[in-house]
Amino acid sequence: MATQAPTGSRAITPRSGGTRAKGGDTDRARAERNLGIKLAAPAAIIMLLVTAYPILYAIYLSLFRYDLRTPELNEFVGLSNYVLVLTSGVWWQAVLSTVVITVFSVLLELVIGLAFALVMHRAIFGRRSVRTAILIPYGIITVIAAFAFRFAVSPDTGFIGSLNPLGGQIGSYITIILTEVWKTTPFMSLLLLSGLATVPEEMQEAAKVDGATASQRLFKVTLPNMKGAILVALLFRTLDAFRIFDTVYVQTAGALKTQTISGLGYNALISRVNLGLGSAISMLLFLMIIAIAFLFVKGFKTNLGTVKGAG
Amino acid sequence: MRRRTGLLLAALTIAPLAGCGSGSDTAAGGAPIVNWYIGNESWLPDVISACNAKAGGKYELKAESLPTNPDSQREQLVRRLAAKDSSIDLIGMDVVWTGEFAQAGWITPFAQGELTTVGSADKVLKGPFESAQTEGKQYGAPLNSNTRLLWYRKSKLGSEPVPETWDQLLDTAEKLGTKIQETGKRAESLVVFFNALEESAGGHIVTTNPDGSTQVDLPEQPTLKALDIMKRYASSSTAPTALSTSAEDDNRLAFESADSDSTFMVNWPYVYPSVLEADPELAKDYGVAPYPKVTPDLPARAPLGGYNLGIGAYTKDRAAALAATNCLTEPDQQRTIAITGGQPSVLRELGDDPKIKEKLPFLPLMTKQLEDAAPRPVTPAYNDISLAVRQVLHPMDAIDPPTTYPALRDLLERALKSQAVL
Repeated sequence: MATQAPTGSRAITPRSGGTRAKGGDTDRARAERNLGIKLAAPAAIIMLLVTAYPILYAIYLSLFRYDLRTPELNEFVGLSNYVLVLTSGVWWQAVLSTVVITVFSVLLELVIGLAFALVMHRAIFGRRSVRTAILIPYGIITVIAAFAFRFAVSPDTGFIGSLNPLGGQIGSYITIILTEVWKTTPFMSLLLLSGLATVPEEMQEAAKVDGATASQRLFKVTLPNMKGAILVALLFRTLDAFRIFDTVYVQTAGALKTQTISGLGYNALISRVNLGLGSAISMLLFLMIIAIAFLFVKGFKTNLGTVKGAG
Repeated sequence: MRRRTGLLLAALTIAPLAGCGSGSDTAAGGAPIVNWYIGNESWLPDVISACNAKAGGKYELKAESLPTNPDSQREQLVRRLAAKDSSIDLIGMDVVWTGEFAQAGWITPFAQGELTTVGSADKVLKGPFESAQTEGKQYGAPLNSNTRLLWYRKSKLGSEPVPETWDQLLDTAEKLGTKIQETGKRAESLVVFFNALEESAGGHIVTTNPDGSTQVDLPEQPTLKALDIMKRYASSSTAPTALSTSAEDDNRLAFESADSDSTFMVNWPYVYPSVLEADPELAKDYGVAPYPKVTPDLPARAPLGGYNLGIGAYTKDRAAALAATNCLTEPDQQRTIAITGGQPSVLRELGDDPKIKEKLPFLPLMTKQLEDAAPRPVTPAYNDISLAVRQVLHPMDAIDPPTTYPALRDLLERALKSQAVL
């Protein structure tokens, strides 16, 4: 699972390089491009070395029956691990719950994160304190945040324990999503804040002179001009949220149909040491992450090159 | 300059490794260290110092504490054993891991006569002894045992008779308008519950064929009856509100509080030493009865818990680990474990021990129950079986016997071949 962390950024790098090459080809642009490639190359090569090997090894393992508890039965089985996973109801249930958690938590984070970003951007006094206050949850480890919320809602220790949300399915989802939102909204708002800073003040002034209301200025001027930043924020958070593991593990351990794809991978790889099946699950998660990144970049019809230029 | 930095780096990298290699094998006095991986138990310091004193420098037993949750304990052990960790000399295994560890080759069997106290069926209670056997060999040295009992509050039960079957238990609790504390969390305890009901109803989850292979058993009538009881309990007024998230200790706390709304609890015996310490007056109100039957004409087969000791397959000093095993399973140490931890001994000779009875007055009842307790399935895929049972049977109030039964069978069949996504 850990090996997949850099995939998001890896999926982006070649794209931005490619789109830039199509742009104007003045000598200066070409020189800048070459310098860019030279500067980025060492990092890219190291990343390939440390991520390519585990990924290739996982692909290799996923084609075997490879269970450490029964070593004598290990053999090449082709794609049958993938068939086992894709024909299993438990897998599709996990896909569904992962999607539900991802969609709701990322949407809430976007809305609240944007509000926080506007507050941080427009704060007149105490700007530093405001920013610090907003960023505190992001400095707390996810496992600790997950435990804090679990204790808050459990019947014996919690202040809203009498409702026992983790005893029911909807309550469990709400608790998990709220924990995620509380924990990562600051990250979202930080990314959005950097986008807000790129919207030229003159545009706001001009809109104001033309008689635009505050909401018109937000939706017609501010947001369209920070599309790139929103894309980056959504992409990062979606890729992260889709691999959610710790919050669910701590709060429900996958009970009440809240099991996520990462949770299935953990059970297969760590608890059952069935490396073949577990690698197949990890590879499928990996492919879904790539697909999400691809759809995002296509769907927003923006290229990250211009985001970088603007920022 | 450059070379010197390189040397320094090399020295820094190797130094800790070297320290590790020599340090973990022998103690200061030259005695070989026996690393014992086991969950943190209250009786550990006592039995360890007793055995180290007896060893007289032949070995030094050292506890390596595992996490508190049994699932996490197993995960850590499995990970290290699969990587052939030679620092694991002795393992405190939950009885259900014995089959899995043995067939994976992570522990070595005891030869005839190697075990001085717990190596023969006539000295050890039947349930614990069978839990240590795999494919005709003894892989585990039973250290202590455990079984669940039916606890009740005498003052709340009043003149009602003590229930003997699950149906009577549910009827009585409903009549009194009180709760029954039992575990419902998606954890191993749910498998313990289901296995005991299945076995008491006359079925098994898994059976072993004469050639050593295993297959899903689950005969229809007993399984439907077992599922029916779980369903009836979970959807009745006798189920605690937080049933789907409650574990053994939640049950204990809910039952132990003075204003408890529960008349009954099904739990391990540690609840008694616990209440004795918390509120000795309240302890007098605690009544105890055998684990309930499923049908009046079949004996109850109560859950079986406890530790088996296993010797790690990659240990560098098997003889020292064996000596430690023999010391730990002696009657003296088993008595300490029973008195301090409330976990009964596996030895027949201690089945009526006066010193233990002083602390655990219900000892004879437990001893009798342990003779025909229900071991959980012995298979290398036990963990898969356990995850599959939890997957299908949680939450219990969603069980619908006619549809749950085929679903459970289907998932278990795949789980037994370790081919289920869980």
